[in-house]
Amino acid sequence: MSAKSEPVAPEIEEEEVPNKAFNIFKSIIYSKGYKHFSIKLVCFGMMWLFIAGSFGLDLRTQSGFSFTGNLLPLQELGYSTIAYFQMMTYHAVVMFFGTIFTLGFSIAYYAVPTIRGTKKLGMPWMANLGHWLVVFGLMMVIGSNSQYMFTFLIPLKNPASFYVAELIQFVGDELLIIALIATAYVDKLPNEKFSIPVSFIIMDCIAMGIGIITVLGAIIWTILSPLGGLGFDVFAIPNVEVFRAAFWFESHPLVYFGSFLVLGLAVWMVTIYAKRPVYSERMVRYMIPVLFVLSMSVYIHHMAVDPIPLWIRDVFAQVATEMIAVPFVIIWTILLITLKYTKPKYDASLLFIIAAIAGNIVGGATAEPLQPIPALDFTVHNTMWIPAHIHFMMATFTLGSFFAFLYWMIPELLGRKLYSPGLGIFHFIGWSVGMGALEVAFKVQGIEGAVRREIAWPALYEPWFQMAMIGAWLAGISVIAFTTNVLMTWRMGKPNPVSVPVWLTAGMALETQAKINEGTYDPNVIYTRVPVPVGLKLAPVPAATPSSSGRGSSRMAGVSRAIAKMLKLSRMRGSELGAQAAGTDGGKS
Amino acid sequence: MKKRNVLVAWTLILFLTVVVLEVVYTPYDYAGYQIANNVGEGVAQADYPPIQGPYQVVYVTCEQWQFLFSPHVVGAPTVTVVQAGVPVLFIVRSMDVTHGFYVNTEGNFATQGIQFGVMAVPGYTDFVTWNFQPTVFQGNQSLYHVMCSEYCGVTAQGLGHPWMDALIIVVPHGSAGVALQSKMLGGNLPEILNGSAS
Repeated sequence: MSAKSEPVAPEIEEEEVPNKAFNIFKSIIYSKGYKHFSIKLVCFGMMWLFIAGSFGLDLRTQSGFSFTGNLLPLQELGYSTIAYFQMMTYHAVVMFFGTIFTLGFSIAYYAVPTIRGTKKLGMPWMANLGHWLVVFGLMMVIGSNSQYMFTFLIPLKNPASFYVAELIQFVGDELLIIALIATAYVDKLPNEKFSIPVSFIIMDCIAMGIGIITVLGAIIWTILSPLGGLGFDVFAIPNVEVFRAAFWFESHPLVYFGSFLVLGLAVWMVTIYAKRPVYSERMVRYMIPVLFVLSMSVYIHHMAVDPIPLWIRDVFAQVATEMIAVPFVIIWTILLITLKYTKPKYDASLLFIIAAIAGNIVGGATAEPLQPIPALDFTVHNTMWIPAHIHFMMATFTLGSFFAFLYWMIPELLGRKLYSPGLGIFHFIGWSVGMGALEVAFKVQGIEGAVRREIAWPALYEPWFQMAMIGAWLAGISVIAFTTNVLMTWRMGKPNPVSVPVWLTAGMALETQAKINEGTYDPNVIYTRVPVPVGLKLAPVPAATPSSSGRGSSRMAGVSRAIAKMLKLSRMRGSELGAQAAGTDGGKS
Repeated sequence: MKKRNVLVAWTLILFLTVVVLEVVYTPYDYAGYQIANNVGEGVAQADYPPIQGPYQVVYVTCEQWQFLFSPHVVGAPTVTVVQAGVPVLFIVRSMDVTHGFYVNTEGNFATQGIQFGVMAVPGYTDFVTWNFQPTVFQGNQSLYHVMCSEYCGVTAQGLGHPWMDALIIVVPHGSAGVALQSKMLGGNLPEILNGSAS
């Protein structure tokens, strides 16, 4: 036996050793499976979070220790006034196009195949190529020596490498979006429709796809003009106002990328925590096209103090900016009504969702004074009010809602239980309090007239910069806690292999129940290939509510009683319809 | 009330709020400056704004990294002097890149500082009007700080966008104020025009 086996062993070793290394390299470069691709995106998203976060911490530390422009003692490392403004650019670009986009894609590339039950990527080569182009582009942005925000501050001249880097990065993002749409349509059945989360993701992809094309157009225009620095003179130097309008008009949806991507999942998560169908599934679906149209119509509020005709500002800033609040308010109202009278488990995910809703409301409401309405506008354009708005929307709302779902997604991807829910709570508190302190400080500075993108300012702003610095470091520490929790889950979490996530079956069943309640359920339509129950055994209205206690005599108690009665009626109708639908197969074909 | 009606009503209320806001504030927006309300408006205009009554004209030329006024204080091109109570029309241009002509006074929790501004975009002329109020002519409140509010580059510490600033001195309305203004500006007073539009 030994004589026969001996010559075989060296052959295996000779072949496997190089193959193993090659396979590891290949699996990193090219992900075939959706879970593998999603894990890869999570890793890179966290990497961008740390890189961009370190830039942000540098900005806040510099601001917290000096208001005269005196630099931190890092000159030996090349730190200078120019480096400060470079890091400001990199913080924004990498945090947005690196962290938000990559983590958003990781969630979408996991959620879509999981919810649809296809469990595979559409056009994986395009998804992988897009990802690596983004990585290469962003690395090139960081190395481009640029000190200007994005590209719309022409005719300030960026290095040619910056424009090329953004071109590469946006091509990569466009490929990722196309591959994600392909993933949503792969193996689509004739009677298949999209659930709420998938519908939001597809709407998001279409809006972002259009937006990125126009941004690409603006960048190509610049590269082919003398501003591009590559010696081309195909186009004249872009007209500043036309360029800015073109840049913002369709690129504005990009700021909604993360929020739209996770909005549908947030609806599901709230219903799961509430153990109750969403208050109005139909209204949530109506908001999808509304958000699509309005998100692409608010661009001019970025140019509120530009010399553009007032009627353009009237339509695309005043009206559109006011209107965009409507769908968000409707969705939050629906979700809060859904949560009312329930006793959910307040873990990190739900807390992050609630904070995200609050962040969106505050951030959105404080954006309204940015309209060019003199009676409302106390001219906070270009003050620290703007970074406060951005951080409310991006850090507390968008990234916060990402964290909420990541606490469900990452343990499932790793096949283990979350190592420490308590550390998750710490993460929530650190992130929310830290970013909240930073945002409040920025808002106050904006009211007091502190101009943004500065390194020197009057001393009266300095205490607020110190508060922002403390908040930023607190948020940074909380992210380290999150990362630690993820790593500990990976290495020491209890094994918990998941074939079908609970959130999928529960979310789909609740969405189906909502359809039944509203009379829109069609047994011939399927939303997933995964078997899910049709109709639910509904929880009764808790006896402790004012409506059922009968003790409420105030007007509010009357309103509450009416709402509870309304909910009860809708449930009864849902139960009857559910009983009728019980004989169907629930679209499990 | 049925569930559907609650949502429809809620939507309608929001929509009506939007419409009311729009209708109420649109006249202000188009007028740019309303002499009737006597508070002054800092609204950026693409076209020459309609102003009723006399107003002062100050030209502002922006370049990396200074604001140049015309007229300006003798020997100090980044300082100008205007009268309180007479609307000032700032005609803003940029010589190189995009700048922000941003005027403010320091505010605090109790008092909102005055803030108004307009972009200076190369290739365009931009207008902004402001009526500096006589009532704020007290002590150091007659000084208005001008800063660049759009990032326009930096070369080193002390030279660049963060240090691009200027000063507007507001003197009292009337002959005494004009005399002071004339002295500081070397006799080169701002042009006074008389607007008839409302």
